[in-house]
Amino acid sequence: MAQGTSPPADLAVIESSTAAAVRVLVATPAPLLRYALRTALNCEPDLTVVAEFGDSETTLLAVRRLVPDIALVDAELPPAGGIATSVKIKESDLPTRVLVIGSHPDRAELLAVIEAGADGYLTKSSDVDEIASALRQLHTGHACVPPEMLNVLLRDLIDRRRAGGEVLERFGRLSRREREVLALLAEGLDHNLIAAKLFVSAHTARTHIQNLLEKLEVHSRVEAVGLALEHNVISRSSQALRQETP
Amino acid sequence: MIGHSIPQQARNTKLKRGRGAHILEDDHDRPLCRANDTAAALWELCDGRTTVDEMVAAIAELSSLPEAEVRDDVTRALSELAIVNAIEWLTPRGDVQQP
Repeated sequence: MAQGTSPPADLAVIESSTAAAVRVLVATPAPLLRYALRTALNCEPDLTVVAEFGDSETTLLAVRRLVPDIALVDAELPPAGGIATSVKIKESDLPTRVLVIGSHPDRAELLAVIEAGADGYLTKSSDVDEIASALRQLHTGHACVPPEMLNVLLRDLIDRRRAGGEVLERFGRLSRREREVLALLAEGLDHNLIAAKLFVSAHTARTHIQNLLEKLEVHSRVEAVGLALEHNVISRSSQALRQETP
Repeated sequence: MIGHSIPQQARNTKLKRGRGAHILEDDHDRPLCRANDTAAALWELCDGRTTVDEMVAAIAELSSLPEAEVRDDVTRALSELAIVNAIEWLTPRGDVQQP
């Protein structure tokens, strides 16, 4: 759908009468939940529900048109799903913050929500006070996750750092020559071109490639380059190569 | 005590979660201390493998606070958890340090 297009007439747009309140768009396929959230949140003097929708396509259209402060998105929003909808909202470069609401505490869902760039995650077991508090927290620029799931996020961050550290340690095993070869592989050169570039035989170039694959614990050149790109090692190697080359 | 030590949940301690405030209990269900959300998450990270540095780095990244500030808070919280015997300190070799 094109940006700026007017939403269809049946969109449930409820323009706010409270200018200073945090403007919330509610997106959930459950009519009862939409009604409950609108009723409850509109009772809060500093919050106002400006629109409510039951599908991802209309939600995206309305977010672009209304630019709410916060989009409260159901993880099960059809047809795209709440996480894909969150990605689209965040990609639109609007200031709208996204709070995803899941059915129950789900580790994988929480991590997917954070990966999608959403600003917060709650579950439907949250009471109105918790949802209102989360909306206020998001509006002040903070992230929000259920307290009992804080350790999930921290554990994930720790595991990622450890994995990154282990991979970097593998790159640390490479000799200067092997780093040069890796940088040339990343430029798309095969062993013959690498050999010509480094003034070595094709056999030697192949040996360097085989050694670096073993040290990086990968099975192919593509995998080695992918790993290097993922951990920003290629650019460092290439830069080092350029600096070292007279 | 912290230095290069690694915190580990004391044997048979458990976390009873409440709304906003949680209670750490011993194996006889006796309360050891109250814990806020962050302290509870911190206690859950005390698996005898995760270092204080790793905890500090993760919390700093998640909260966007400076590591030095986070380190002070984490150190203080872990010290308090150790005082009430909710955690114990392991040496890098895995031995429990005596208080």
